[in-house]
Amino acid sequence: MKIPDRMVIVNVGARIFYDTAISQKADAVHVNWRPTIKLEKDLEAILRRIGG
Amino acid sequence: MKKGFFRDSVQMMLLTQELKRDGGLMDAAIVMGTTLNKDTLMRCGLLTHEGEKAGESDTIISITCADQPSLKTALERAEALLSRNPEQTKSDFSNVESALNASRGTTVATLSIPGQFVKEVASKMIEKNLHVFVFSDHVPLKDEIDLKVAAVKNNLLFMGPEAGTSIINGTVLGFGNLIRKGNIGIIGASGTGIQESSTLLHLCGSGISHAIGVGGRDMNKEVNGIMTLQAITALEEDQNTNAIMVVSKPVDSKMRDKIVNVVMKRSMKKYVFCFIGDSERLEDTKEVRYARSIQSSVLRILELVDKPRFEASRRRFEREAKASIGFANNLSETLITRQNYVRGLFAGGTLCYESKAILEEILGPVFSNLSANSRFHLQGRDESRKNTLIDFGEGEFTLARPHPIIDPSFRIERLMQEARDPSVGVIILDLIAGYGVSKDSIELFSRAISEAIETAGKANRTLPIFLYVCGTEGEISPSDIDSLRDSGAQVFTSNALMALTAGLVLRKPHRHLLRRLANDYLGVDIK
Repeated sequence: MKIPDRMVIVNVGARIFYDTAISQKADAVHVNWRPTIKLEKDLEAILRRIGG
Repeated sequence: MKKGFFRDSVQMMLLTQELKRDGGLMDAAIVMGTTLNKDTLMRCGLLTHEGEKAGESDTIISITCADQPSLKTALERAEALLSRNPEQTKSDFSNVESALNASRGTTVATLSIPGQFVKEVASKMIEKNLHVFVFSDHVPLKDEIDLKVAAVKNNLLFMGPEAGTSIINGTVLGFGNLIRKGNIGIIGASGTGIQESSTLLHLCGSGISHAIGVGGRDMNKEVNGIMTLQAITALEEDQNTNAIMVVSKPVDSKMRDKIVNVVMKRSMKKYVFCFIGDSERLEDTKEVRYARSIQSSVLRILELVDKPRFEASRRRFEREAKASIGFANNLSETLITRQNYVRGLFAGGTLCYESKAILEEILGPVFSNLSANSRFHLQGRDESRKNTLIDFGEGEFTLARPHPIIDPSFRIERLMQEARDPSVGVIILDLIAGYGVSKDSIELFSRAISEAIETAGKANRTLPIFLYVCGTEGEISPSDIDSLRDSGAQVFTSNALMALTAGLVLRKPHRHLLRRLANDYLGVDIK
């Protein structure tokens, strides 16, 4: 089990933690994450019927 | 309700704050329509029929106003705030896959998304062999266990959930402080526990190799210490670490013994364990030492790895302890007969637990929202009773608003309320500085403390307000400390010293007990 020597960060969620990484000169990228939109049950059923 | 509209939870909290600051409303919350958020809205009287129908991908704007025109204005303002586009940079990606493809050599993922989505995203990160740091709360327990098992299988760290901080090779993840590099590793099932340990080591001239936050539930019997043991393995194999400090909120004694036994069997390094609030007195061994507070843990680990620094720090802490005891004696004479109780308003859960353990030794049972004893358990928003300590980081305070480390407004409101209570003899507070914390906190606290003391003064009462400031010189300047002192606050270098001094203001223990308390919680002999 090796603790990483170099910090290259992918930040998912709150931007404040990406800003913290960047202010320490760490390599970082930020993901503007959003939840997967859940289809309404009846729409899912229709899509299933038409093979979608 | 705004269908299919998403902003991250911190943005939502900040927008709610901005909306409230504009005034003209009684209460407000802007949150995603998760079941948990809806439950909390209901408890706060902020859930409408429309809100009930919101799904996890929808945003609820809930506002209480005195009249229709104010409500209309507030809703328009909320819509305007939400329609503002968040700042974007060229390092922004809209999904995890494209971010990972674009960023070569990624080693760590930091997640702060709603708890129910953590498993889906973190599993992908673990598959890609990334260490994961999870700030999110409300992650289902089963998800936490599954993710930690998967991380161990892939030789990775899974830091969290509810990890306040980790410091890996000098880089802070989450909240945390600028700490000198050194040869002491910290493992913490506690964010502010790691923050106080690392800042005190820094203050003593020492430093850390890494600090690994494992999440507050890791040492529960269900999670079985999976990540604490993995962090022990990681630090055992780390060439820059000579000694390891393990800090935790109260744990089950079986779990404690399991972790200690693993260390005793296979450790090549020296350890100090600090299980805050553990009443059992454990015998030191060659490999393992025990401490009852963070300050005494710091001294004990310095004793193991750096004798000269240990001696200098012990002398410093001893001087501070003696000065504080004298100060408490003098101060207790300025209180009037009715001022019998302590009130503690904390941003750090571990700091609240530690204060509770110390004060209970001097004053007897303390009421708290952290109390496991139902007789002394209070909801955080209940009025204080006798001696009361409140952890403002608990879930009841953090709906649609930032953690109290970022936003002190709830604590400041409560400070003013406690200052009006004639039975209060002393108020204790923590102020956490560092990454992610606004510099405004110093000014806000200075102003509030000065106002609280003035309020008590108008009623002919002296009101001692004690403050433990957690931070290093890069984050808290001498002029910041001066500003807090000018407001009337008594500033302490450790949480344990603050709590012990507060207890001594209210009750003078027998000399033997005082000597034992100083030894247990401050790590010094006051003779």
